[in-house]
Amino acid sequence: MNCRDVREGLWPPERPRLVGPQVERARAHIRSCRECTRWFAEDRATLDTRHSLQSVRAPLRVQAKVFEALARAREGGTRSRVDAMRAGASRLRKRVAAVGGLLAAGAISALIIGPRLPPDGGARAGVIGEMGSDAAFVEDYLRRAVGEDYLESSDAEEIARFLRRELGLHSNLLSLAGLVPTRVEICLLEGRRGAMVVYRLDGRRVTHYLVPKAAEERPPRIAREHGSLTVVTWSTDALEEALVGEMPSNELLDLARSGITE
Amino acid sequence: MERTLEERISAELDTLWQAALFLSGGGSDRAERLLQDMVSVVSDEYPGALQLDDGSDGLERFFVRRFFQDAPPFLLGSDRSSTRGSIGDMGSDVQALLGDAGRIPPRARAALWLVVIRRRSYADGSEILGIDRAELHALLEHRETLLASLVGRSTQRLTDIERRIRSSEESAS
Repeated sequence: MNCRDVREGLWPPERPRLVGPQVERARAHIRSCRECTRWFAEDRATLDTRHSLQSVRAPLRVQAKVFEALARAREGGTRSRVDAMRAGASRLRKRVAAVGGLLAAGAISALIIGPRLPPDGGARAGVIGEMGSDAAFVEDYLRRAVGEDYLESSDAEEIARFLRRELGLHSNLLSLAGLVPTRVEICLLEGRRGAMVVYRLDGRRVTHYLVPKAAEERPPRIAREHGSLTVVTWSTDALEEALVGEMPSNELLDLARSGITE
Repeated sequence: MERTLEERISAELDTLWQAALFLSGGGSDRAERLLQDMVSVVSDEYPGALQLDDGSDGLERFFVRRFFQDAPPFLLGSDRSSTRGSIGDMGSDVQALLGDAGRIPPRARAALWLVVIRRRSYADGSEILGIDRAELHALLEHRETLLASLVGRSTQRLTDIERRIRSSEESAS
């Protein structure tokens, strides 16, 4: 048994292993080999640094750039888009500070307004409730967290194209009598990139959040009433969704149910 | 249940960022660029590229393997300006480690990331990188370079502690 076999055989040294003849021979080798003793001692000496490196979190700025890059790659579909992506990412920086405030508030994970499922989509989830993150919908709604990546339009087709381009969502907008889309924005919720579609209904504003996230199917429910704001959440197999609006909770719940079933 | 690419990236983003810092050899600018390029590539190939890596670390495996096979040209030059970017909030030891990683050839960085930092077995490292065990051992020879300054710092700290203990013992006696 040479040094190479010993180091490979006992690697990583912190992993529990059955002590058979091979392991005993390897350990005996280390006791008699100064080089291997030093080799494993060096590894122990760097333990704290390795742990520190592996506790580094991706900064919000990086999260934003990554999802921006993903959206643009999806739009272009080839590596040649990388440079364009990088240029485009700079505009995202301006809004990161605002998003940071939202995320630092510790609220949510991810919600989305919701288009319907893609043809192959099923329905998963309930993650919002599990995370106790309903407040984040309110936070995002109130703060207008992401102020730039947006499209002002009442053209449903145009908004659908925006959602396809930015998030790969092939789903329909909510379509109910009197419900008129006015705007779609990208939002970032705990690093997840989603969208919020703003509608007008009888002069009132209703916001539909859609956040791509694997989850288990969960029907609409009233998640929170925050002053005059009501939040209704539900999920499909691919999206966490929420409706936020200044209207009675039952009315918003009916709106969500209608939007799903129609 | 197939997860969306957004879901997978979200789940592994911190690890991918750590890997990008290490593989790029320090400097958040280069790490960001490396990570964005990887996202672009994986988007093109998803989900096919990840079907064989259907685990919680599938993107990391994909990322490191791709880096090993085809390190981006911007990491191969000697343009020092490209190492800019603050990593100042990571602690001096981590910064030293990342700086030392930058002195190692990219392919060896990938091997060291998997085995030394991420504590994967040699068998896993070989399988992820698609190389035989002998080549992996050869790449891991660069471990000395990677750990040299860290071990030196650690040894110096121990020496300082021993010196302080001896000093306090002498003054007490």
